[in-house]
Amino acid sequence: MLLLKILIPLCLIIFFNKIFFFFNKKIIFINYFKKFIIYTIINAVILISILTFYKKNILLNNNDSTILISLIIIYFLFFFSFFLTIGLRSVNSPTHDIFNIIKNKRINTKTLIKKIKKKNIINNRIKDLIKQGLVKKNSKLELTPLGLMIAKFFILIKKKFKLKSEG
Amino acid sequence: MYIYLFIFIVNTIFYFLLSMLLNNFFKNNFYYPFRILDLINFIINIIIFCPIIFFYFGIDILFITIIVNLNFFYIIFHIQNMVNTSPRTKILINIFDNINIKKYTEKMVVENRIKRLLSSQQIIIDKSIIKLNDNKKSLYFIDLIFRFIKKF
Repeated sequence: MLLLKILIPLCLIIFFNKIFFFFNKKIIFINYFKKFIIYTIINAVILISILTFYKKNILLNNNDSTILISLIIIYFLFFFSFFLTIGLRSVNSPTHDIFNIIKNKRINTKTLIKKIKKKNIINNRIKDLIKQGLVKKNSKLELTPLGLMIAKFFILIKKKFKLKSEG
Repeated sequence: MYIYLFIFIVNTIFYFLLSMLLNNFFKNNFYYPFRILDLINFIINIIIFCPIIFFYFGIDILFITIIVNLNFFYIIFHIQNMVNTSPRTKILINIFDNINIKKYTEKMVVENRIKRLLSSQQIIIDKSIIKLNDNKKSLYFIDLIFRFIKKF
């Protein structure tokens, strides 16, 4: 029974992804996030309607309310995990590209670099960042206000976790 | 419900703070693709919070707590990976720091990855030829996950 309950938030997030990618071939993260908020409001209205219909005051039952709250927490955590992963749908990871090249062929580093260069990784990423509204191109590349916020967040993480941004 | 919410908030803060502390004081090694410090952090949190949750709420919420901590583990793993290896994050940080973006090339991307894959023994270089290490199958597993993600 519990497993079924846990599957509800997971299924809701998978369902959201299916709907989103049915209408959008490529992901614009800010749109994805906005649509998730609308989807969550709809889910909340449905949940409240169901509880009202069955006249069940869940807040009076401590056990039920704890399970409901924990499922809501899981719902948001599942979304956040999907949100972080979903970018890989439209852009291949360079490590994955390297794996696909070397799994069948025996090549040296120079040839590998040549093959990866053909994939135009950096330019494609810059184009994507412009499309996402994080970077704008004037005489040189500049961060948009949203891009600046995200860059500051990454720099904070970099400092707090003592990481290097190698790329 | 309020006790659960309180324990969840403490769990969240503790998870992220401990992760920061471990990263600041210990050298990071990999059990590819995961950082060993992240695995240790996850296990410490499970050891601390699962008995408390079991004592107050029983087996159902205990199971949910494990899933919550697995999510924390994945979120921290992914954000650290983004900062460390993602070309898009590197470009954003370079623009922020006013570093010429032309200095970041595909050659760097490949060399960084070869260095990381070599240090985690996923690949071997034999007479300048790059080969997958047959004793390590993590890259095949990651390949499977990438294919799986594309289906969602």
